[in-house]
Amino acid sequence: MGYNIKKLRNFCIIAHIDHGKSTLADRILEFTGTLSKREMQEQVLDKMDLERERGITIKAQSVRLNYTAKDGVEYVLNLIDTPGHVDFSYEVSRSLAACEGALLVVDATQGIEAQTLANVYMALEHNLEIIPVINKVDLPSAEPEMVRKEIEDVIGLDASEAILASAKEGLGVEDILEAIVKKIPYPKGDPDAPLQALIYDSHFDPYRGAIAYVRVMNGTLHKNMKIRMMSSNRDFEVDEVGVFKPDMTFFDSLSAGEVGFVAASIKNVADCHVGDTITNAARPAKEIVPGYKKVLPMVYSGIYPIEPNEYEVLRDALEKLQLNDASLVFDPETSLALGFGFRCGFLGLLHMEIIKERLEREYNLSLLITAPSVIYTIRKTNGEEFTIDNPVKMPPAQEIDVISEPYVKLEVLVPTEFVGPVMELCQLKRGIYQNMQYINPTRAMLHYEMPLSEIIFDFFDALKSRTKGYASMDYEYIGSKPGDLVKLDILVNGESVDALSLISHRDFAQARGRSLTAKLRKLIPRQMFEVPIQATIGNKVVARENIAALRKDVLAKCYGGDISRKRKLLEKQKEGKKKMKLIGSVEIPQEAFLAVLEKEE
Amino acid sequence: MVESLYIHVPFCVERCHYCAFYSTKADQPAKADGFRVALSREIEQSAASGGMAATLRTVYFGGGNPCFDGGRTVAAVLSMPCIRSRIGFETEVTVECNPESADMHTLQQLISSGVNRLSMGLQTTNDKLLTLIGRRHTYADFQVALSRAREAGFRDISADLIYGLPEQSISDWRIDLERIAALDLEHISCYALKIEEDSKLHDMICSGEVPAPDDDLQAEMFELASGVLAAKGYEHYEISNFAMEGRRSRHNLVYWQGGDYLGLGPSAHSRTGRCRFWNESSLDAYIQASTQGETTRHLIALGISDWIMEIAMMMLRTSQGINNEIFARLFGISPVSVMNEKLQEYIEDGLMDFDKGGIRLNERGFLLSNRIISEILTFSYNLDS
Repeated sequence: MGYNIKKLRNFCIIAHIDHGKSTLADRILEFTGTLSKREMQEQVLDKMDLERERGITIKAQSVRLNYTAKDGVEYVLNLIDTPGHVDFSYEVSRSLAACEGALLVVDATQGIEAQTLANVYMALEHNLEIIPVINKVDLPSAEPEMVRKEIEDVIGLDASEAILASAKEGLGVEDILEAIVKKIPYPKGDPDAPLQALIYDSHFDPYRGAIAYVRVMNGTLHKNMKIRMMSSNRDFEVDEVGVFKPDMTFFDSLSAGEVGFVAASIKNVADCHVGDTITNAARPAKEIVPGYKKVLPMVYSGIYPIEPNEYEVLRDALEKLQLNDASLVFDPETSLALGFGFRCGFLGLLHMEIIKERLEREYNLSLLITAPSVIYTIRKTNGEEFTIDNPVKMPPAQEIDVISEPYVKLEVLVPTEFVGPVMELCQLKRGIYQNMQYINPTRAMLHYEMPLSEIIFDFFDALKSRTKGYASMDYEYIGSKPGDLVKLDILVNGESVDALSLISHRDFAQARGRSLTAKLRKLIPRQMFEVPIQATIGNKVVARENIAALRKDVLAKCYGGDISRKRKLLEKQKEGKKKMKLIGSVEIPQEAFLAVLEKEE
Repeated sequence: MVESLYIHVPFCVERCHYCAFYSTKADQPAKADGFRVALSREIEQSAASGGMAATLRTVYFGGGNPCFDGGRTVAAVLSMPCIRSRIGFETEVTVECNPESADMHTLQQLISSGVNRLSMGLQTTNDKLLTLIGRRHTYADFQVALSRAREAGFRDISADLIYGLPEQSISDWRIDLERIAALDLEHISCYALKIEEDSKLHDMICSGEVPAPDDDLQAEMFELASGVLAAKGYEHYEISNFAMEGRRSRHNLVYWQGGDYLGLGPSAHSRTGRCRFWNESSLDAYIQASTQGETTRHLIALGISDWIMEIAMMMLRTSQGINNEIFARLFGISPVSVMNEKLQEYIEDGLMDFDKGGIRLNERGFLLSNRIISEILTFSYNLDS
C-alpha cells in the first residue's frame, strides 16, 4: 500500500503493571496477522529477560501493523510501546508525543491504579484520543460496570463505549481495532515541509550503531539523507530507515505521520537524545518538536566489585550497559572501606535494581552496593554552594549553612479502609499533606509532598505492607527544599566504614543508627576478638552494639564418612570468604553492606 | 592394601533424636538375613581382590546398633575364613553397642568371636535427658552393662558422652564428667551436640519444643571436660577423644593420620591413597545389587591439593598434629608450605604450637579449630598441574 497519511493510526497502550498490556499487544499482533501464532513467543515486545520477568517494559519499541477494517479499507497501525514505570516518566511522555491516541487498559477486577492515572493525565495533556478498554472481563471477580463508572468519575472520560475485552481469551480484539480506526484521528503533518522527526527512544545495535526510534512529524526522512540532531547540532548520514514489524524492515523513506527507526552510524546512544528532533541538515526545520528536556538521575549509589580484580570487568559492563541506556551515568569513585568502584546515577530505584541485576546476571559480577542517595545541595557558611551525591562528601556540620534535598509530589491510590495507616506512614516519612479525594466510595487518592530520600528508603514496601498490597503510587520531582539533615557514620571495631554512611533527617538519625547497628551485629560473623559497632553523628555516639568474640567453632565428630563432607565444607567456607570484605581486621560479608538497603521494622 | 576395616550395621530398634547416621528399623528378620548375605559377599570380594593386607591392624563395627541381633552379625563376620585369617594378636577389634543390647549372652558372644574393644553409647548420666534425646536406657542400665562387660572379659572399654544437650546445665555436665571419670574406663569420647538436619532434634528445635544449642555454653563444657579428664590422667589426644596411656582408638587414628581404610556395608566410606569410595546409603539397594553381583559403590579420585588439604585437616584434629616426617613421607613437602602467615598469628595468640617435630593445635586451638584450619591452609601454587 502506498503512503497515505489518512490511513495511518499511531497509538500506545496505557495500563498498570499486570493489567494486561502485553497480552493485549500479543493478541493485536496475532489478529492482524503480523505474527502467526507459531511465531509468537509470548509477549514478543518485551524482548529483554528482565523485562519479561518483572512484567515491565524498558525499551519503547514500536510495531507496524496492517489492518483491513470492516469497511474493507486497509489501514496502517503503529503500536508504540511505552515504558511502564514512574522512573521512566520522561520516556513515557516522549512516546505519547509520538501518538494520536491511546488504549487505556484497566483490569476489570482491580480498577484504576495511581500509575494508570498519572499516565492518562499525561496522555490527556498531549491531547490523545483515549479509548477505554476494560480487560479481564472473563474473570469471575470482574466488575466492568464499576470500572466504567470509575473511568467516568475519576478521569472524566466518556466510557459509554468502553470495550469489554479479555486479552487472554482473545475477546474484544476486533472491536478494539475498529475503535482505533474509527476514533483515533489520523496524524497531521506535511510530508513536503522541512523534516521534523521526534526521537522517542533508541537502542544500540553493535553493527549499525545507535538506532533512533522516530515519529516523523513533518517532512520526509530518506536513506542517505544528511540529518541533524537539533539539540546538539550534530550531523549524521542516514544508512537506513524502516519500521519494526516487529523485526526491522527497511524502507526507502518515512514520511509525516509514520513511525519507525533511523540508523545513521551514530556511535553513541548518548548522541540520540530522547525527545530530540531530527531534521534535514540541508534544509533544517525552524523549530524543534516541543517537550524536549535533558534527563537527570535522581538516585545515586556506589557500586563496587567484591573482588578488586573485577574492577575492569565492572567498568566494561557499565560501559556496555550505558550503550543502550543513555540515562545511566557513572564515574569512578574510591571508598576507604571498599576500594575502587563507581558512583552511578539512576532515574530511580527500579532503574538501579535493573542495572544491578543485569550486572550480576549478564556479567557474572559479585557486587557491593552502597545505600542509595539522592542529590543534596549544600551551602557552606563561607558561601560556597555545591551538590553532593555521596554522603562521604558532606562537609563537617559546623561548616554547613543550609542543606537542601529533593522533594516530590506524591500520589497514593488506596482503598478507603487503609487511608489512616497510609496517612500515618506519609507523616512518618516527613510527608506534607496536600489533599485527598475520593475516587469512589471505596478508593481514595492522597496527595503529599515528600522528600525523595524518604521514598527511596523503603517507602514502597512499607506502603504495600500497610495496605495488604492494594495501594499504588506515583511521584514527580518538584524541586529542592532545605532540611535538618545530618550524616550518620558507622564504625566497626573503631574504624569508620565510609560505604555504610548515610544522610538522614536529624529526628530519625538515632533510630536509624540503632536499627543499622542492630542489623550489622546480626550480619557480621563473630571474629576471634570482640567487635564494637557504633553509629555516630559527628563525634557523638548515638547507638552501639557489641559482637562477642567467637568461643567455639569446631566439628566434634570426624570419622570415615565425615571426612569428605568436611573437606567440602572447608571449600565452601573459602568460597564464602571471597564474598567478605576485610575492614581493618574485621571480615564483613556482602549481606552486611546490603543491610543498609533493607526495610526497617 | 588396607589394614583397617569398618563395617556398618544399619539396624536400630529406634533412632535416637540426635542421630543422622544411616540406619533402618530392626524389625524385619528377612532384611537382616539379606544384609548378612550381602555383607559377607562384599567382604569376600574385597578380600579376593587383593586389597586387604595379610594382617589387619583394626576392625571396627559401627552403625546403627551392631549388636542389634545379639552379636550374630559380628560373630558371622569375624568367623569368615578370609577375616579370621587376617586377625592377629595385635588386631584391635572394636564393636559399638548400647547398654540395652549388652546382655551377658551378647557380650560373651562378642568376646568369643575375637572382639577385644567395646564402645558403649552412654551420652549422659542424667535419666531425664536420656529420655529427652530418645535413648532407651537409664544410667543404672549403663552401670550394669559396664560391670557385665568387665565380667565377660573386656579390658578396653570406651563410653560416648554428648554435651550441650537441650536443657543441660553446666552443673549437669560436671556431674556426668565426675561420674564417668570414676568408672575407670580406658577411653572416653565427648561430643558437642550438633543438630543434624535429618534428626528429630532438628524438628524439635524448629517447632520450639527445645531450645537450640548455645555455642558459648558448649565452649565452657568443652573446657570443663578437658580439665576434669586431664586431672584423672586421660590424654586429650583428639578434639573429642580422651584415652588412658596406650588406649587410644587405633582405628580412629587411621582416619586422622591419613591412613587407608575399607568401609563395608551400606553408607560405609573407604579411603585408599587419593581414592575415595563409598556405598550408597540404602540397605535395599545394597542387598539388591549384591544379588546381581554388583555393588552400589561410588568412587572419586582427589586432586593433589584436595588430598593434602584433607589429610592436613585431619591431622590437626589430633594432639600430635602434623608430624613433619610423616607429612614429608606422604607428600614430599613440609607442612608449612601449605600454610600461610596466619600460622604465625595463631602461634602468637597461643592457639597453636610449633617445634622441630611439627605443628599442632593446643587445647584452646581445638575449640576454634574450624576457623583456624580454614584460615591457615592454603596453596600458593597449583599442585594439580
